[in-house]
Amino acid sequence: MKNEIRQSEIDKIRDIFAPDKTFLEKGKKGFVSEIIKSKSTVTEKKFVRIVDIHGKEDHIGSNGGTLPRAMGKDSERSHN
Amino acid sequence: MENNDLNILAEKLKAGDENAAEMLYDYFAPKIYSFYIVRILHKETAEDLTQDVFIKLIKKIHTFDPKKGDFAPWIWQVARNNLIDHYRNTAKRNLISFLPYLDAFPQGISKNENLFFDVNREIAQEIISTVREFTDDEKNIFSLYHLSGMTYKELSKITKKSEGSLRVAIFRLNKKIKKAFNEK
Repeated sequence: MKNEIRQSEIDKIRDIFAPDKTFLEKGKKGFVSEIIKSKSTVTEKKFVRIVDIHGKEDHIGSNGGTLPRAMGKDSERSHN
Repeated sequence: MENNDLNILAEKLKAGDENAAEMLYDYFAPKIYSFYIVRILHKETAEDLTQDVFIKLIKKIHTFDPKKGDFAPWIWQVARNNLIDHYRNTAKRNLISFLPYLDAFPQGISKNENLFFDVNREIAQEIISTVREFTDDEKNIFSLYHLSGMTYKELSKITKKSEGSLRVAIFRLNKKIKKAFNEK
């Protein structure tokens, strides 16, 4: 067909309008890291919900247990 | 990639799957960028808008439901709404006129390594001038069909036009593009 565009011409057109590779790579890294962040936010929300069920309002330690409020105050004192 | 595969990846993305995020980005980011660059003819703005789509995707992915429709038309709707928002914002602020867009693009593409490697600059300018004369509808069809490589069926779903009318539109576009090539 007279108006049919050859593949080589399509390739040229695609080259003209192609995104910058560095931009794509940076964008992908940013997107994936935001997905990871959003995932951790969801986990955090669930974690808070579980704590609420048990009615514990104190700070949560890394071992999953609760820390007495006074401990925070003590550590502040030791810095002072 | 088939619609089902994309839907599965989107479901994984909802769960925070990093691999799914990478695959969806690799698949859609170049296509969405092409869609914007053809519409706006300004490299930096097209990059900003492309990034916006993925930021919106993170915020809205929880609303995606494959029972209601496929992921591809869903993300394209986000991309088109994003463009409409951009036009509204620029019109409201009246800070960016369309003239810089027209002038900036040749400088924008000069940063693209591929251009010097594969494409004659004169042909590039001729193609850009041709695309500049397209209507918005023609630009959409051009970017989705020629740059993103969509089929008539996929294009029909996204543009909500019949495959027959798309064939006619592409035939006319090809005629204009062919002319641009023949003139150089």
